[in-house]
Amino acid sequence: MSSSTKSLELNYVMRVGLIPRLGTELPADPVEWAMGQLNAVNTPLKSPATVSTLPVPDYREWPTDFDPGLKERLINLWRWDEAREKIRKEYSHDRRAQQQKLDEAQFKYDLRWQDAAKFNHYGAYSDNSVKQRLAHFWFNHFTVGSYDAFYTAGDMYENRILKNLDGTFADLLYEATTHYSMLRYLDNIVNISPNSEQGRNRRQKGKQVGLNDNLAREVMELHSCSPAQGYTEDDIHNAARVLAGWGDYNYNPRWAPQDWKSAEYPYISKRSDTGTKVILGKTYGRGSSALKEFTNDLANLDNTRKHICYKLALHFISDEPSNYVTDALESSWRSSNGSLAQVHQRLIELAWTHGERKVLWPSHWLFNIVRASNAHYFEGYEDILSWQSGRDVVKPLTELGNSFWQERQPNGFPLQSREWISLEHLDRRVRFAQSVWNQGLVQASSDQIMDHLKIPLKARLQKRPGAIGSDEFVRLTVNQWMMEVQA
Amino acid sequence: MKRRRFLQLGSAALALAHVPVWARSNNPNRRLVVFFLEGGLDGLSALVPKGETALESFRESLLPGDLLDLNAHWALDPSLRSIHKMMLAQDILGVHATSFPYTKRSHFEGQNFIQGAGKAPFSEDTGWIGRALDLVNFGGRAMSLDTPLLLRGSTSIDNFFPANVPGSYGVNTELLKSLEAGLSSEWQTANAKLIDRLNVQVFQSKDRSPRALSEEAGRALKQKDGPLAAMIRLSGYDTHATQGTRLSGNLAELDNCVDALKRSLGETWDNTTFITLTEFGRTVRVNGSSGSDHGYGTCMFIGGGAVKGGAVLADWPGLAKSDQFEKRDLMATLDARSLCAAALEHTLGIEHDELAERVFFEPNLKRVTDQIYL
Repeated sequence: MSSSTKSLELNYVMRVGLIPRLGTELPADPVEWAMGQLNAVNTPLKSPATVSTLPVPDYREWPTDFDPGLKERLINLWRWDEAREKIRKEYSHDRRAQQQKLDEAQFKYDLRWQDAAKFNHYGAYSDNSVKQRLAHFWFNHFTVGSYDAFYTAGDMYENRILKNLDGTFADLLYEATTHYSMLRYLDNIVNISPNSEQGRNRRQKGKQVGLNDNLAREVMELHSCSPAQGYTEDDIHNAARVLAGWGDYNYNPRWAPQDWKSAEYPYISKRSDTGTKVILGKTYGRGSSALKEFTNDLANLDNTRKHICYKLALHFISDEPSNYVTDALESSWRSSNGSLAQVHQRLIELAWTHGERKVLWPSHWLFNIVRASNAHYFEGYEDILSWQSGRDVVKPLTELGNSFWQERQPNGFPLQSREWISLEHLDRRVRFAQSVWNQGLVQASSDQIMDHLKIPLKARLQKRPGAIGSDEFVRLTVNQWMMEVQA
Repeated sequence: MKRRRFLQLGSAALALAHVPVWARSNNPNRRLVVFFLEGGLDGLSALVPKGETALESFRESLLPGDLLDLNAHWALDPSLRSIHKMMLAQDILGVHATSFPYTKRSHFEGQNFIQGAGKAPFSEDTGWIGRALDLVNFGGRAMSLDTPLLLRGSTSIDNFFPANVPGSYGVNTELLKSLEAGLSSEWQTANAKLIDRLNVQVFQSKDRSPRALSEEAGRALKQKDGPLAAMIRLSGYDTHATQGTRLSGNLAELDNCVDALKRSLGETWDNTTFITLTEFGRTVRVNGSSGSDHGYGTCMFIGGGAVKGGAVLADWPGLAKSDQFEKRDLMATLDARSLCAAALEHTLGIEHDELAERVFFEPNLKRVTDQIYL
């Protein structure tokens, strides 16, 4: 099958969104479709809570219990700490019972697998795939990539990323920087100013104390202006001073309320820097408001606009974005003062007129083949029965090298096509196509799938005599037009 | 301790055997393995200049208690037990105060630069090993899902990372051949390599730990027509906080990898060089969270049967504040690209000047091959 067998509509839908599930028509006017998705209000996800009732799926809303808010999640971390200590003591004589109890406690307080399952379901079932694709881009831009950051990563995705796709970049930058997952992943929870109240106390007691510039560096390098800005080590050092005091290990309700500004925006003033700081020539004062001022200033830099617009173009439009495309994105950024709604809208227009070849991320390919074949491949929340077995939820995307719940570096997943092409990547595509066919309860035939994708008759895969179903499914899904989008 | 050029550890003097550089047309039997330490290795913790009095004032809390001594001046982190033994057996050379000439302390620029080795980060689409392999027209292998920049260049680069996909019965030649017509050219290349690999090798282990991958790399490299070079990625070296336990775990992993590689290579160890690569070193002074921040100079290990081991090679800059790079990092006095060029010269038989010009784009790159190899 050659690339010309894919309709322009399908190609576009795959570039900015995901293939509609079999049973939902491909849009006749895909740009209008994408705009509609962009402007739609976030609706709750509806998907099968379990695959055990299949083939008749019982579509339900994802339980609100699994999105209890950041404060509750942090208190749960503290509760879990307490429970762990208690169980270890109480069952020290009986290892097996101890393990069992620990697993139960973790299952109660740790929502990581439910979060990862929801992410999979968004990919497989969401009606608003354009918003999901944009959210994936931003969740990757603001990568949180350590197991301890994953405790709250679902909250970050749901309540910081998805909810701020229509605001300004300045707002998103602040929301991402101050989220617990980010503060924990990039070590800001241990960033304490030496001149703060706690810094002085600790030093008097001979304890180690001081700044940690990990987050400060990445906020500038990766999240906003990039090294093109030419900032110095002093700038980074002073940015770390602005960030000092933001975040803590957990939210201990016994003492936290008097110290934390709030769980959502955790600022501990007795760890903060009391002096003034100069970053990129501008002076910042003390107190929690300095961070918002700082991230706003970063968001307004020319280099930030350039860096972000280039990355958007690289992910959605081309491996070598033209000046026309980046200029167009930048101009919508400038005229709207960094409104993401405007920039995203421009991106979606450009994707229709200027899209070039891109290899899709393997996660998007997997979601697409699941949707196109109406497969039910991912566990629902009711299928996660224990903490240990819950780990399985993250396996498919981790195996494809593209899981947001897998440990990784702060620069996130690569955006260039060539980074996703290798013989092992190809091997995985074949294996996952087989796996979806064998375990995804696929009811549709190859013909039904090709009907759904509006593949012209003359370009159809010819059924080979004696070929088994899964081989046919592999041929249908492991090819250029399912793994890539074209110009 | 200042400006000690070459600190010999063993009492026996090493004979300097002349190793002829084999002609490029010969069947190559030498191998190169890179352990890629992601995050920036704190060289002062791995290979400790324990004779430095300044060490305690700057980073007492980062110093492990029970160092593995090499001599009066140098010691290893206690997790590096196999490397220690191998250094004492003169199989591994430590190099200190070295770095690629990159001073801006960004992981991602740095990681790109030490692989691309061009004029600047992100200036190259190929890596220094890939370009060198192109010159001799032989292949390499990445022990990862992706193909890292370091090895890119030659089309004969492949990769290995065992799959674990429930519900899949695996790939076979006939199925893969049936895909070919539907693939774009880059995927077709990957497909051809996958088919090739099915024909020559059977993998048993599904273990994706760096130790298992090192073992697998050793098995592949010792094949007569196996890859010439392999890269194994180890992560977690970005030790901004509570460095002690994290780094000792990481170093134990590296130590296991080196040990597994040597065992699995068997006699091929004598023809193999391994090197460690990392994007930068870390600050001399401990930071506020019992860790260290991004720096410059670091250490490197070079091992293998032909390596002039049992020593630490360093033009040691000292640790006093005035000796530090920008008054915070260990200074680098030896360009790590010289060490990489030496490994390539020895492994591939390409003359240093050609490597300097065509692989590192630095005609004046210093040649240190004779200080590294017997």
